[in-house]
This record gives sequence, structure tokens and C-alpha cells, in this order.
Amino acid sequence: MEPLILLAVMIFSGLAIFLKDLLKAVICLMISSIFLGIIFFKLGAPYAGVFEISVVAGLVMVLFILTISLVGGEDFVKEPAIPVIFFLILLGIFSQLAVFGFKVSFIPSSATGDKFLNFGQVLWAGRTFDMVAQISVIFAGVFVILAIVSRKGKNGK
Amino acid sequence: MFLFIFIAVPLVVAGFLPLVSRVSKKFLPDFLANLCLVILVAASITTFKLWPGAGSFSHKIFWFGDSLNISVVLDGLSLLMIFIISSISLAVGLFSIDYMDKYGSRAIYYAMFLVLVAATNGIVLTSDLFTMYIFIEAAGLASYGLVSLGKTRDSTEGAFKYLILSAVASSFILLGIALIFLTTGTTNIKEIASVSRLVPKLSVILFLAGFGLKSGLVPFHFWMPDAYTGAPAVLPALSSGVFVKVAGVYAMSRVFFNVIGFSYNISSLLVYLGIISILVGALLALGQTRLKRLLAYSSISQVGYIFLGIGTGTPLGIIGGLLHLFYHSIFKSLLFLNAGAVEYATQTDESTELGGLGAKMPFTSTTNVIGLLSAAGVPPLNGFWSKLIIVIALIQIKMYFYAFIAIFASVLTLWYLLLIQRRVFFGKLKEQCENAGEIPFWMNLSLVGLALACFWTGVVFAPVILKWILPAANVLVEGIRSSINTFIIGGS
Repeated sequence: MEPLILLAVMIFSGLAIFLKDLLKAVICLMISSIFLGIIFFKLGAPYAGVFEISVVAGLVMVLFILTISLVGGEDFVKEPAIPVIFFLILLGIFSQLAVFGFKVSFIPSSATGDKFLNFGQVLWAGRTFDMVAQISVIFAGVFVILAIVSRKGKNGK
Repeated sequence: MFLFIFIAVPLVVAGFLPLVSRVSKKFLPDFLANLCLVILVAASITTFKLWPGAGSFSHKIFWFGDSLNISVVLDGLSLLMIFIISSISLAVGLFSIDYMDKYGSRAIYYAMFLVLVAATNGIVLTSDLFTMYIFIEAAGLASYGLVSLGKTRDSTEGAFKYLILSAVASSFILLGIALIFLTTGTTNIKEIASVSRLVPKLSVILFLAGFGLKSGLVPFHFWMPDAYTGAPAVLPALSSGVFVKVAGVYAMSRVFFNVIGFSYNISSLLVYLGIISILVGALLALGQTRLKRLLAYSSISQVGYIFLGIGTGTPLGIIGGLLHLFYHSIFKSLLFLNAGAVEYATQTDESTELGGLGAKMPFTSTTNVIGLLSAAGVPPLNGFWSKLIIVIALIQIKMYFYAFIAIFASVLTLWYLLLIQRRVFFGKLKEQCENAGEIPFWMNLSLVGLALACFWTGVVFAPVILKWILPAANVLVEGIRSSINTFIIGGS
């Protein structure tokens, strides 16, 4: 399972470099970070996994998207066809792998590896309050983007 | 469960507001957001009534009988902060009812506002450093959005600068937390405090830079004037009154006093940065002509007072610092909202274009005088008592020069704020002000309420200290005590 997830990290990181549209590149980077977080969990470092998913995949990506919204950019970027097709196919395959793989497998819940729980339990059983904070982050990100988009719409830009 | 409403209620209402705006664009968002803020003020007062007056208590959250792993912790310091957040937010919320007409969708505005309130409450109530960090980021994100609501190039530039510098601050804070986790194996505040000797010195520097940037301390203050100048006045009022206090001052105090352990070196650093901020902020404010920019520099100077008081590490100094934190939230929000009222009536906050507004806006002129006299520390208004206590605390530990600087900067504050008052509200009526009139009811209500609070909390300062400030100061003093104990036990 781990080599496949590692492959997903590499492919989505590669796509983040090759895609010309900044927004799509950021989304690829976010997916890559989620898979990296999963690897941390698998390797028995749940805190590193939580940091990776909460901060890098969640927070930093919201910051990237906000920055792109603030500074604007080209309205439409023509992508080469291959990365786009690759992106969609691989996203489908790897997300299925991740979901099915972690439904059944048990991973260590602490660095000492003395306790094994499934993925969902490890992610949130110990860090439920982070989830509330993450909801605040997502809300803030969505509202800020809505505010910027509505302002740009009104200005006709 | 009761304590969790400080986070859950604003978050839930924020989620519903964009949907509600499809039914009613103005009334329902105004009503729901302000109702939510009224509930929070009532809840904070009820919590205060139920509060035993000392110690801390934590609550586990249950969901249909199952215990969730969410534990909120309340002590004297967090209770004070919760009250400040709720009451200042309510004043800003009421002001927004009429003020936000020209700033686009008010549902989105209130949604960001309430996320900011929920996140700042989360910072105060959490018992985990990492969760605190995520809440700081959530509050920061909502702040960038509020800054960018201004429709000018200034506001976009201010939001961008704010975003980039805040990201730098966040990196420092996160690195500091990671270092602590590396050495102690936990991010729980209580657990770290019990092994505080293991905390690396580098994390102190990282936290100082990170929280210093969030609170706008010199030399980390660059974002503040730009972010505040272009934004709608409600943002600086909310940021200076709430966000800077919570994400900067509260978080830094909590980490230094109750997590890492207060030491002589940290004390010296806070005192130096405090005194430099007081002086630099006041001197830079002197040359400003734009109201919000001037008030931003004034905020930098006043935050310096808070750190100067807390940094002394003496019980009296800490009381003075926390009292100034409370009072500064009131009078600085008032001054920023006054600037917003002037901008609302005249379409500008450039003081050189303004004059003679006193006759046209008597309420705003009066509340502005009260706010500026409080900021300058004129008795019997609230700013006088907090500054007096800080100066006495400095004299008590023989820091005469710093006490002199604190008094000197107070005179400078009076000078630049009176100059602005004279230029904007007195003298001959200028062309820009000819069509100006008194501001609408809700804006006036908010200003008058804050002005009365400046006056009332000054007159009854002793009960304020005894009931609100002393329990909060005890939390920090307890932190110093336990770090001394740790040092003695560790040394023996």
C-alpha cells in the first residue's frame, strides 16, 4: 500500500509543477499533501500526519487560494491535455485506493506503536477540537473568496 | 457544553448567514448576527456570575451521550478575554448595521465577522497549543477578508501585506510548537508546563517573533498601518480591540507565563520591546494625517504599554498591563469607530480635508473627545488608571527611566490626538464637510455605549480590578510562581 501512496504523492507533486493554472496546481499540491499525511499516519507518526493535513493541506492551501484571489490572474489558462486527463484518472484511482485501504487497515495511534486504531479513529479521536478549528478555517476561506469574487464581479473585472 | 457555545454559536450562525441572505439581504443578517453577539455577551456575564473566582475548570463536550475529545478550559484570564471579545464585538456589530451599507454583501461580512469571533474564542478556550494555532489562523483568514472588503487599491494592498506577514508569523509560531512537541512529546498546555525545562530556547524567540507580528509590536509592526488604513473602520476596531489582544497579547502571555515559564530574559525582552513600541508608535503617529493610519500607530504604542506592564513580571505590573488591555480594547475601538463615522459622513478620513465637523456631528465629536482623553490617560477616564498602575509598577522596581518614557509618550498621545480633534471637529467648516450630518442611530448607539464604558470603567476602576483583572492576573502570577518552583526543584 505504501509504495502506491508514495507514487500518488510524486504524481500529484509533479502535476502541481506542470499545470499552468495556479488554482489547479494548488489543488494538486493539496492532494499530494493529503497523501503525504496518510504516509505519516501509516508510519506511526499521527501528530506529523495531523500537522501535514491540518496545516499544509488545509491552511496553507487556503492561503494560496486567497493570495491567488487577491492578486487576480488570467481568467482562463489553456492547459496541455495530458496533465488534465492524467489528473482526473489518477485522482479517481488513488482516492479509491486510499478510502478502501484505510477502511480495513489498522495503523499505530502513537509514536510508540503500542495501540492500533483505524485511520478515522487515529485522525480525529485524539484531535477532535482541531476539527472544529478546521471548520473555522474552511468557513473563513470560503467567505473571503466569496467576498473577493463578489467584489470583482461588481467591478466588472 | 455551556462554554462551547462561545465557539459553536457564532460558527453555526456564520454558516447559515449566506443562505439566509437569499431571503433577506439586510434585516435578517443584521438581526441574526447581532442577536448572536448579544447571546455571547449574556453568556460571558452568566459565566462570570457562575465563576468561583479562582482556579480553572474544564468541560468535556458530549454529543448524544458520547464524549467527544473536545475539552475547553476556563480560568480568570480566559474569562476576561471572553468578555472583551463578546462586548467589543457587539459594539462593532451594532455599528455595522448602518455602516456596512456600501461594502457589498452584509451576509458575507457578518459571516467573516462571526468566524473571527468564534476563532478568537477558540484561541482563548483551548488547552492545546496546536489547536490554538489553527484557531489563530482561522481568525487571521477572516481578518484578511475583512481588510479586503474596502474597495480601494489601498485595501487590497493592505490585505496582501497583512496576509504575507501573517503567514511569516504563523510559520514562526508553528515552528515553535513543532520544537516544543519534538522535545516534550505533547502539545497540551498543562503537560508542557509540567516539563517546561525541556522547552528549547529557540522556541521562545520563535514565539516572540510570531506573536510579536500578530500584536504589531515594534519591530514587527509594518502590516498594521497599511492593513488598517484601507479597510472599513469596523475591521481595525475589531482587530485592535479583539484580534491583536487575543492572537498577540493573550497568546504570548499564555505561552510565556503558563507554558514555557516566565524568566528574567523573557521579562527583559518584553519590557524592551514594550518601551520601544510605546515610543516609536507615538512618534510615528505624530506625522500622520489619515485618521485610521494615525490610530494604527497609536495602537502600536498602546500595545507597548500592555507589554511593558506584563513584562515587569510583578503582580502590580501584570494588573496594570491587563487593565490596559481591557481599557485599550474599549477606547481604541471607540476611536476607530469614530474615524469610521467621520469617513461615513464625509467619504474621507484624510484630516487635512476635514474641519468644523463638531457642529454637524455633535455626538461623534463628543465621543471622540472621550476616546482621545482616555487614550492619553486623562483622569478620571479609564486609560488614566491603567497607565498610572503601570507607571507605579515601574517605579516600584526602580525602572525610573521607563516610567518617564511611559509618561512622556502619554503626553505625545494627548498632543497628536488633540491636534486631530481640533483639525477635524473644530475650526472653519471645510468644503468636504458641508454635506455631512450626524450618523444614523445604530452607529451613534455603539459610539455612545463605548464612550460611556470609557467613562464608567474609569470611575469604578476598583471593582473592575477586583472582579475581572485580579483573577486574570493571578493566572499569570501563578505561572511565574510555578516556573520559580520548577527552577528551584530543577536546581536542587
